[in-house]
Amino acid sequence: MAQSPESLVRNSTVSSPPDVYAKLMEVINHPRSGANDVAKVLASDPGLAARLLRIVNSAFFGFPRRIETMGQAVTLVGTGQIRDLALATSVIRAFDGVPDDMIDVRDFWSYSLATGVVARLFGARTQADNVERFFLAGVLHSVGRLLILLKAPTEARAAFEKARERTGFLHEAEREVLGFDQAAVGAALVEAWNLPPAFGEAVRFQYQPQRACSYPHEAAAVHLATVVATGLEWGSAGETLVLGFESAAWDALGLDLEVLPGLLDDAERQYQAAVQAVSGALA
Amino acid sequence: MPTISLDQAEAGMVVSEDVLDRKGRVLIPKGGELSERTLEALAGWGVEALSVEGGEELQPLDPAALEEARAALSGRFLKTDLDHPFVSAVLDRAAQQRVRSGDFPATPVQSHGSIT
Repeated sequence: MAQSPESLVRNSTVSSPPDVYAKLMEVINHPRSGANDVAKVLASDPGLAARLLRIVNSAFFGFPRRIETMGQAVTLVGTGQIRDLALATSVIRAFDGVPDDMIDVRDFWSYSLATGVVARLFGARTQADNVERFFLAGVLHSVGRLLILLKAPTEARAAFEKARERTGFLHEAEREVLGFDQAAVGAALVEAWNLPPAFGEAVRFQYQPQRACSYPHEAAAVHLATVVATGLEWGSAGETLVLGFESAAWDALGLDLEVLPGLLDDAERQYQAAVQAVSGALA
Repeated sequence: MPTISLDQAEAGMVVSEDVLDRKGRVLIPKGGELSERTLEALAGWGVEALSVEGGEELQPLDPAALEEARAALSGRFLKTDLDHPFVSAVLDRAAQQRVRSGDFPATPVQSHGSIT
């Protein structure tokens, strides 16, 4: 039977988002709930609460004072933002049991976090209202590859070998072997999870960000962030070549090149902080 | 133009790059002088590091080692657009990173940064 991005998602254990996300959505959408209720949901998962506190107290935010409780964290960071951070740091757990003979799972998440950190900094520089949306989009942009490894390992291996033999892009080899690439699978996944449409667009169009009509900034930021993370060898999701660069993505953000050195300095610090903060999830 | 943490910053120092809050708003423009009052305000805004003029410069990197690192990275950047200043800035940074990490000159390439 022919495979499709949707069939890979449907037949997987990750066809629904981590429990905490659904609970958070419910609380946030409830008209009479507040920051306290959000904090309660987060505190009910001690591992998650610890990761969030580590991240909120890291170079990621650089708050001047130490944040001790989930309640303070939610108030300072914001409910929508903490929801996106919570998903970004719990999605790692959802993908247990990925075969590690083709990619190193730690390298995979390091690379995903690096992309999230850089995308988030682009979001911040363009005055985005929720920078954690950029972070989460970056963290999720390659999860399609994990699904391919889990649900279509034979094809995954064929694609890896093809890409290696001719020094080509892994996502192009995936298209040849499967008929679709990891971006399509990742987009199908975040759509199955009912995440806001910005995520589907940013993941689907990570290779052609100029095709993202509704959320051009998110898609452009993710595209550029993969160039940075792959170029600087911050982890790896299997792709060894820096993407064919779309200059339209850079133009879409409307940033001056002079911001780049400072942004890369920040990225390096925050990348280390993010990896440290979530490394417990990989134990 | 060293980057220093906020607790190393002192009144009288001149910032060499715009100091931004985490939404990217400019708090102190490039060339502005720090005072006790602005330092307190920066702490309140959650700024944790900034670039200042003068002070101890980072050691300049050996140009030959940088060239070697760039050559070693060329395969990785084979299929992208190195003519674009964004991409070439990323390659420059990648070469500097390899030299600083001690990979160059003349040791085998190691993968950089991962969760351990």
